[in-house]
Amino acid sequence: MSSSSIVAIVPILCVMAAGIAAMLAEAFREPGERIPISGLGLVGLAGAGISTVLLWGRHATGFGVVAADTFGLFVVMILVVIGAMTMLLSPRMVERDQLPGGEYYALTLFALAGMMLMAMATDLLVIFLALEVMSLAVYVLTAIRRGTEASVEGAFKYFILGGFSSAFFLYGLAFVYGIAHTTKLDGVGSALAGEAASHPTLALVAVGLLLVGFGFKVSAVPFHMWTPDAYEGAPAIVAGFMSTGVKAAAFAAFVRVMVTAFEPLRAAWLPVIWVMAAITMILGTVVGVAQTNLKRMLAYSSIAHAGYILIGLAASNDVGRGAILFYLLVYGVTNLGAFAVIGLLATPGRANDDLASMAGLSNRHPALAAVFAVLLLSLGGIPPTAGFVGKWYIFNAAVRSGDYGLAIIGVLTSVVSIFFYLRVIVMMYMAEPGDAPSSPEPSRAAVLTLAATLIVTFYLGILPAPMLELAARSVGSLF
Amino acid sequence: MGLELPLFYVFAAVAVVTSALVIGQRSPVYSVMLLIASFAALAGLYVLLDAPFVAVIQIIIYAGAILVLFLFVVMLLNAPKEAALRERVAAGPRRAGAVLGVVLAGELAWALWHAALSREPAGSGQGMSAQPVDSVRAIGQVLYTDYAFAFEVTSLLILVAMVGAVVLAKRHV
Repeated sequence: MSSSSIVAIVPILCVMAAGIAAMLAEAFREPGERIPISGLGLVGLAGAGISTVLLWGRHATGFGVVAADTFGLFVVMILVVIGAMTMLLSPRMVERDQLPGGEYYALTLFALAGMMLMAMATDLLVIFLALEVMSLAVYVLTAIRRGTEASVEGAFKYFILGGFSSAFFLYGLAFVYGIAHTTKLDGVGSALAGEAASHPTLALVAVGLLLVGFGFKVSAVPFHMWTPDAYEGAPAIVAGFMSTGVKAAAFAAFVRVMVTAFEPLRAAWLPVIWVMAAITMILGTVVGVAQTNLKRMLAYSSIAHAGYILIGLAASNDVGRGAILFYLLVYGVTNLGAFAVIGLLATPGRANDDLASMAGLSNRHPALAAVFAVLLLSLGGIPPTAGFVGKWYIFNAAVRSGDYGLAIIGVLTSVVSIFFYLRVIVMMYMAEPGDAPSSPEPSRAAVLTLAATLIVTFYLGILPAPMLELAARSVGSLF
Repeated sequence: MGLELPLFYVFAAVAVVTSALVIGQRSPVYSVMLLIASFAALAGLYVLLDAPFVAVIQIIIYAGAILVLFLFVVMLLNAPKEAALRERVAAGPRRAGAVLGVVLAGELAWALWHAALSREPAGSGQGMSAQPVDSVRAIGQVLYTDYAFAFEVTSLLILVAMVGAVVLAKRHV
């Protein structure tokens, strides 16, 4: 174990240390005393961000099971951004909903540590453990408003189904170990390349079971059932964190496992991914049209977005994988921003998250309405926002690999999805104001975060080339 | 060697009978107690399979810790007898369950039939016998060397679980 072992996991250690510091700060807090715990999280995330930049291009590996390659580090960077946004947006909501502050931040940071480990792990066992660290923390965060019925219901469904899917994943892992005698991804890859012919059935069973586990975490149809309930029940900012961070980490591990360990079986899993991508896009969009609750609508929208990202995996060329990384970044920033706006609109004891309460928002909160409109347009994929570029590159990857079917389904569902994004904008700008109460002014940190979100959305929409190039170069490290 | 076969039948019979009784009981407390008996019989089977470590784990963790926890939960919740359950479960799910049960039975019969035809144990490939890890010492050695990192990650997992349980269960938020 050389010193490079520890170096590779420094970003994770920073976030973990911040989580432990958050717990200690809460423990030593005098009753009534206010400690800016989110600041501790920001310090940890800053450390993670700096160490990620320093690790860039050095190909450090840790303990034989963690690889700080550019692919993993790119996702870690996305997670740092998501984490920082969450930390900046949370304090007001924690206070308003009277959530247990120390535990809330500690669990968020532990979840981030698990996500980062998932993005960098090159061993199925470590991926599973990281996935569980992330999942357990997120289950609890979903249920953190214990008094609310929707919260408990959503968390319970998420927990039960999540435990079920973890069992599938673990079962698949056991089969993989049975075939390859190792859980390391490269070892599994070479074992399958050599022995795929001798255990074809077992290998297919293993891939199928792992697909179920990953499909659940990225909320791909038909493993998406928990998503709307969990997002509706969770506090808005937690829903935003879940829908972006969990997805980024799960997709990172998903892509890494599929293209390194199961590359020899591509012919077998490609059709499955194709069908999953298609039905995920279609169902997410079609059911999303029928939603009147904004959080449920964004939940179905996030399901549809999982379908778009799956196109990148199905395209299985470097363009596709680069597009996945870019899309995860764009989607992460815009979707978290959109959930944050919903969170900011809530008033004590009232969520204000149904479509009707959006009526006339442009009169009450012109700035928030404008930000929300831009973020929704980006989610819908309207130029010149980042969402357009992300979708463009995903569909481009599909076309380049000759897969016109998925590209056409993607474009058509995007067009349909614009309907429900636009409906919200129409409500905000053209409907008569309803009886929704005026929400409190957002904190300065929240204003700054949303402003930054807006800038990123436009910047990546107008000048995407540097970031796209970075994403494209990052995926080179997978091989 | 001579004892192995009769012992197998004893443990197997106990496991099958107690498992069947678990779902036949109306009182959840009896069900849990029978499940403990079933797990103990399973542990006996593991011993016969030369896996003493798994057997001990089975007793300590499943029978000892988890099911005792089950028992506490059942008693604390003061779960009523399941008398009303039969009426509450609609016919649709019950029929679906019956279909799934028949499918599973068919699958098992098919698998056993094929295993009997091929006349060799399912695990006879190099899959199972590559590196028998049977003693506690060997397991410890692997756990703290090859899997040391995974072991450490588990500690984070347990910490998260602990914090989560406290958040959800403590009385004053």
